[in-house]
Amino acid sequence: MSYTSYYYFIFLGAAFGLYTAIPKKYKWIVLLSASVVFYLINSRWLIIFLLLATVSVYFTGIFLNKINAGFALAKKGLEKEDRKKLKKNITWQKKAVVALSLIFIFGILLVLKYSGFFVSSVEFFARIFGFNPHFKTFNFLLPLGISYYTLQAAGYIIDVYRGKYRATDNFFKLALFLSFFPQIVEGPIGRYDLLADPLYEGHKFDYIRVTKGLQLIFWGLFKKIVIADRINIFVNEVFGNYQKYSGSIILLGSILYTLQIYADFSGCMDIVTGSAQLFGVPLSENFRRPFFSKSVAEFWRRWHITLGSWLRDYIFYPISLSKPFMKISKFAKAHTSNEYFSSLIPASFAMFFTWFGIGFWHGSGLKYIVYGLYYYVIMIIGMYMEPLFVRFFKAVRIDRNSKPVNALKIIRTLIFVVCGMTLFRADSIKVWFNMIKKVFVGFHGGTFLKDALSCGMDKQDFIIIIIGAAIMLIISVLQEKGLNIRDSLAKRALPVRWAVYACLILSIIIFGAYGVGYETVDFIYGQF
Amino acid sequence: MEQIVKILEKIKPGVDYVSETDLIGDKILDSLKIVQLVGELDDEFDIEITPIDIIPENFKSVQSIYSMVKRLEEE
Amino acid sequence: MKRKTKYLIRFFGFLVLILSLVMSSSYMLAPKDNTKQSGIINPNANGFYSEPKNSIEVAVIGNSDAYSGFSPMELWNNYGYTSYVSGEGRQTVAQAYEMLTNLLKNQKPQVIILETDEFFTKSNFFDSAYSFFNATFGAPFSVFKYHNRWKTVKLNELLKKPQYTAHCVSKGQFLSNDVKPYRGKEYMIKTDKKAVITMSTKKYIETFVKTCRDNNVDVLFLELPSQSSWNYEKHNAVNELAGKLGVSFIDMNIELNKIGFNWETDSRDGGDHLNNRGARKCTVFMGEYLKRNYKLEDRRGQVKYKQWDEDYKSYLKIVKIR
Repeated sequence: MSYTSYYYFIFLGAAFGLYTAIPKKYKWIVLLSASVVFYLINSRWLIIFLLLATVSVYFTGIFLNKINAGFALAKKGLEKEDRKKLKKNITWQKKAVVALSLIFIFGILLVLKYSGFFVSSVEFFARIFGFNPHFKTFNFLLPLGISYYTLQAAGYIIDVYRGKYRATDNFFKLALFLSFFPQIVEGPIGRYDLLADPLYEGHKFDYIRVTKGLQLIFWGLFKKIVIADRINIFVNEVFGNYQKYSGSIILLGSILYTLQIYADFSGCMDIVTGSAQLFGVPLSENFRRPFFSKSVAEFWRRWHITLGSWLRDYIFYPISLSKPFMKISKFAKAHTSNEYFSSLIPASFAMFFTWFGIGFWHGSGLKYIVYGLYYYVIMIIGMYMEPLFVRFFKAVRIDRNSKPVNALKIIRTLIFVVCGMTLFRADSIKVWFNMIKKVFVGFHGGTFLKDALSCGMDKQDFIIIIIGAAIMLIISVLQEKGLNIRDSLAKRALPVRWAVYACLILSIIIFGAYGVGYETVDFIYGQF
Repeated sequence: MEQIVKILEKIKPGVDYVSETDLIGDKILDSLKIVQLVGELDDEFDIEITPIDIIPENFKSVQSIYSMVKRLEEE
Repeated sequence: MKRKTKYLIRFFGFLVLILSLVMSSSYMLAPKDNTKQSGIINPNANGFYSEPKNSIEVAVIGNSDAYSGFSPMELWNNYGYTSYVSGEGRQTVAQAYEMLTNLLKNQKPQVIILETDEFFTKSNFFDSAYSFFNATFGAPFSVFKYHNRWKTVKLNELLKKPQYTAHCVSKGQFLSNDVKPYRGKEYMIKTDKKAVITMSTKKYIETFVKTCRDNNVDVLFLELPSQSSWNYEKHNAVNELAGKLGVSFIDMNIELNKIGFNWETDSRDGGDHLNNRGARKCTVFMGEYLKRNYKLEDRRGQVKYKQWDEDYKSYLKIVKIR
């Protein structure tokens, strides 16, 4: 049941109707039931894996609660020395139980999603040594949202371990947190402390809130159906047959793909955030005008924000602030003349794992790992060359934060991003290299206009894309300046508001890339 | 407190740390700088800042960093 | 005014606005003719709009099997019956129902033949509901089907009323002289098993039959020869349904000898669709059945139907099946 299918909106309407009708105390049960039904429709018996993850994390949480309660009681009657000993003991217990749970849920993810990759990697390495094994690989069906709910569950149990909040006693409430249907397919990856209250407290009907949610849903539909699905035809053609096309067309294809994946993913986020808003549940921001980023590091703080922040809080900080790495840093500081570099060492290591993680999370394949490390290398180089940049700008006496320099930074970041997205979409690393080579070696700008119109999109399609992109750009600029689009629209007179909403809805119906001649386009991020 | 301001200026110079009230929100400290800062603070005050302390509330101003440091010194 | 009422009025007001906009854009973007250039989907199937009112005695509705395998020109030449075949590739029964209601707007045939290959075509709930809605209400929301016409619609067309000027010489038949034989195994192996016709498909078929009868039109089920999509299990299923509905069912796949049908010469793509020769044979056979069971008028020689003789001459020029 794709988020752009008619079925989804019937389902959403029914869930919303039921939610509104049921008394406040039980509204969360409606959300849970709807989420279970949604999951069963989409994944059927694979729901058992979601159930296993929920059970594992639930009982681990209960156990942690018990240990903490026991410790609180016991420590009262003890001396400082004994208290320290007891604390060490229970910390070890807590660590073990959490580790087991994490191994369990990540183990399921690794086996179901990555076993094929592991097997082919083993075969690859064996071949280097002269062996030629052939292992049987199973192509497992992936449970819906496994890459997303596994991270959510892990975040929950790690937070409980760290003492951020108590584990919940209510199994079904935890199940709702993990299975909530607007976010199960493509995220955003939620945090328990932010979602618990809104999910469970139940919100009565609020016309303003509901209409705002609907507006956001339609905006997301516009981005996906009018812009992203339209570009899809061109991108499929060029990336599928890149040998036929000149470098200029390949470059256009890469730029369009970057636009497509943004419209697709952020459009989906708008649909699901608007859906959740109907129920008064605020989902975390996942996109914040990423193309305005002045550096690749900033880009990853504005693109797929919840993935980046999850990796930061649960991989990057724990590694970079861990005792061994802090020790290495101190050692380097004491033994090298450059304090700046030595302070970067724990961060560099931690960043490697973080970016490896970003790449690896996206997919079972070498291409995705390289995708992550591509950005890692760019950032590491930037980091270590930072003192040089400072000296350069001082020498030429240009302000690094002046408008023209910032504009160049944005362009530079866009170039890196488009190049990265090309890898993301290309069939393999080798194909990516070939495509990049063609952009430089076989540009052939001469027949560009003619070629561009023979890849499945005609002149009018391009006009729609340009207008659509312009609308997205204007809205982004306004938002970057702090404007809330829906709120400021709400302040305008009724005819103006209605004209805007009606235009939006009609644009989707008339200019949407659906129907005869178009195939349905799956959400790009639903496959992870 | 002055020690904290000195450390901050070493990590990222050119900011008026005394009057800044939102180091995180105003994008002055990013995750890399936080790691550098934590390393220095751990050294300077002989404390152990763990990931659970890495929340915006603790790092948004010199005052809040100071409160966090004082709290960890006592533990 | 209470807040609740204010919001209710506003909500319905907006809904009315959107519905009116959808209906206006449907009117504006709908094709204004039934020619190929008009942008209409399946122009051949919709050619009956430009036939003189109530001039068609026999109509055939079905999928690509129907438009490949039934030849109105052969029926005319051999029996003088006027007919039209409205076939759409991969048509669903809901779409057949929509086609039926459109056909009945300007034609009143004595008998309508429904090709049963599509009884086993999967259809999603919304597409079927959309066809049914169009059939019942006259397509006020056709913009969902024709929205892509925004690219090609001319400004002066937007407010025009539709006028149907297309002239399909073959009366809906897809003419093909290609010969690609089927040389595979026997595909009609007798069995008691029955294929499954889904509940929703049955409902649409029943509605189709009922609508025909309500309009005093007789209805027949026909399965043209098709090796790739037919078998005995499907035969049994349709036979059973036909019996329940009191509709006669002719399955040509079990009458191939009587028809003189030959898989070596009569298919254009190796057993899926028929070519001109195959269509002629089947139509002649069908014509015999119609002659025996119905009182259709032989209109050969009538001044009103002279155009059919002209069309037959044009048909002969294209078709090579001497």
